[in-house]
Amino acid sequence: MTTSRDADDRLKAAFQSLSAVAGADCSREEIERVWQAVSGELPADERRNVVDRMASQPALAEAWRVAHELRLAQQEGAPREAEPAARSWTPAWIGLAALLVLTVGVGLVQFSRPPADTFRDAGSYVVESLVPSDATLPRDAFVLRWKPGPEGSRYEVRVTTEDLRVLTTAADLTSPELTLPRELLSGVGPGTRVLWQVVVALPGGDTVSSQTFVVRAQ
Amino acid sequence: MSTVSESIDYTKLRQDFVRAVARLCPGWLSNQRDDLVQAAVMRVMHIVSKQTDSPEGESAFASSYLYKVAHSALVDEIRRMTRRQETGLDDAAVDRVALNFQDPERVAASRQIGQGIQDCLSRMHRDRRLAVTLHLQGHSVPDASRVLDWPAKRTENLVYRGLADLRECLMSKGIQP
Repeated sequence: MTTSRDADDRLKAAFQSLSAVAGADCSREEIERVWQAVSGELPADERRNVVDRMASQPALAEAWRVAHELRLAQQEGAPREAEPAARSWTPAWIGLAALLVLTVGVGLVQFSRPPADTFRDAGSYVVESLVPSDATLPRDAFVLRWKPGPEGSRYEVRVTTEDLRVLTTAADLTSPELTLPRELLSGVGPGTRVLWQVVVALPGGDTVSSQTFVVRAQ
Repeated sequence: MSTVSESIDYTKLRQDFVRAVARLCPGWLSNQRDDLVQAAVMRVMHIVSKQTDSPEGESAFASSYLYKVAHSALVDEIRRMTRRQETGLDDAAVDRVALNFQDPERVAASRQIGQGIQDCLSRMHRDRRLAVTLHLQGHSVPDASRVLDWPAKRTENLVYRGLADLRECLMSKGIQP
């Protein structure tokens, strides 16, 4: 037997799952407006306009949920005096977070959307690591390699520890590899995960960034 | 790294991401959530480093601006991870996800209801649509009334009547909500 609460939860889950279904992503400007709306920076009539568009744009609705959760997390983690009360929307819906699983989770399984993120998607080039994930690299040959972009590409690499201490950044590389000097790894314990990410400036002006790759220091 | 970049509290930002992602993606395995968080933080770091290279960078990175950037980065990373599963670029992740999520029939049913909801919302009176949309997004009545800047009683009535409209509309489509 289902209750009205169950039915209501199903409606919410179904509505939120739409963001994983095919449909246009929202623009950078729209995402910014969502953040402004959620953080109370927009006047009421403009907030209402954003909400109205969410009804027909699942990607916008998803951006709203992300904004709301990030806003709550920011407020929870902030010192008490940090946020003006007027902007502190009550986090009464925390318990509903479980419903959000469908929003992204369903999409993980099977749905597709056209990519709109020019930062990530420039043509068919995808930055792939040529170092096996989670491989342990010797300290005297700590070489990060990745699939080269088209001729003329420039690479920027950022290497951090898991707690986001920056070990090094290198920009304007012309070769798809980076060797970390042994001394940069002096504060990294044996077996510690090292994270790295590449941003590729393609000859045509587009930029493609990689996922975060993981290796370990011997 | 510039002085501004170094002054940003990435540890707190990471913790905030962890909390937000845990709520947004409770069905993901912890390593998937970790990947998402790391990628988002590194993306923010990249954007910050670019911005602070510019002359106006120092003033640009007030906390409010940082979180605007962080929001955008998190939205992008969620999309990117979703697309990676779709395009089969991460087979291991697909395998992991396959262990976690519900059966295809249930997913398809949920999608059908979702599309019905979208259509019914488009036919609804605007004020009711706004109230119901926020309800479907998980907002309580007090939350929704603050967002919409309407009295709580009016918002509650709009949610109530809007949901009745929605159920009736779905039933007319043969969808049992």
